[in-house]
Amino acid sequence: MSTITPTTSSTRPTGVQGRIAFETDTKNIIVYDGADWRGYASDGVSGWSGSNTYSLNFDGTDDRLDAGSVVTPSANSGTISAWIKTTSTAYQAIVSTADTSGISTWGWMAVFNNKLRITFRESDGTIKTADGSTAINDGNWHHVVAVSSGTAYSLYVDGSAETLTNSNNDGTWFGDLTSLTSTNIGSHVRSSAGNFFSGNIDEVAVWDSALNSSQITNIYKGESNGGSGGTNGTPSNLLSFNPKAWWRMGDGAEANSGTIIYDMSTFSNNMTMVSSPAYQSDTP
Amino acid sequence: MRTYCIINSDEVESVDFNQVLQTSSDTLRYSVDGSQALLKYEGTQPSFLEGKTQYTHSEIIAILATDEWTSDEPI
Repeated sequence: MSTITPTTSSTRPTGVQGRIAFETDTKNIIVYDGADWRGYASDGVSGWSGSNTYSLNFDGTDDRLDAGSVVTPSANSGTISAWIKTTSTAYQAIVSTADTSGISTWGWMAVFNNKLRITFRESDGTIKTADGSTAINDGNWHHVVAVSSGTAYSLYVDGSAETLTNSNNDGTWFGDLTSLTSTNIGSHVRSSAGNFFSGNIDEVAVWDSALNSSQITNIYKGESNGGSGGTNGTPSNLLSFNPKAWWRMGDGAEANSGTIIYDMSTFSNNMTMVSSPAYQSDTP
Repeated sequence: MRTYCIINSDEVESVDFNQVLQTSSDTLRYSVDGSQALLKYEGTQPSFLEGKTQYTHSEIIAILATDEWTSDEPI
């Protein structure tokens, strides 16, 4: 009986075309195609255990997650999805990618003025922003999504498109920026970390393409890609949507323990806790 | 229950990071002018923080929202 070589996402073996390995941290099968590793997600037993039990609580002082690299750095369109719960009135980051050595470029999804915001800054100082219309700091869980089609932003709260207030809304996305260094959850990190999120964040995912409104509705309803059922406000398995990163905030390979939040897509964009985000059995 | 303290930055080198919730001086939150740093812990107060003012979560959030801790960088 043959076995597949065990490895981890950070200690992959030397690539030989056709070589197959099993990542014990992500539970994914990876295959070397001669140029790069290709990942095949686990059957869902680890990626989706059938329930969403944990979220991460950020205390709003200095808690964050840091990928140490840029997630989807080349994307000229894309989607960011998360579930959040907050009562804070502060300007707070949900997901941010920035030049952490300074303030030259960034793109982040945030809560601003109690509403959802997507904003990007180009190296010449031009800022592109779209603000939503629904107050989301009411202490209830909300599903929030920011999309760039490549030419315009759109925002969704709880499955519905937001009425936008725009400033230079041209859909600028990470692939349009230079000098980006790292993606964070729960903080906007430029020359220093700031805009800390106060509350709970769960089931964060990123795509390098624009999801359509039907797909976003399905994510909000816990339905698979292309399905027509589901229940409002129910996170579920995102693998059928092919995310480029999916952090389950306690329900992934981390199993609500330790300081690494594993990317449960096939791309190994694992996040490291900075300070002390806490696992909580508080979920949408 | 988390408790929060503010120390002077020149005291950071004496912090035992095994006794606080942060892990290193590199990832501490500092005041805008860099003169102060935030620490937090659960349970018993670490001995090196004796004499320091202790803050609750709501108290420290109010402090961190001031100009002393939150810069007015372009956003």
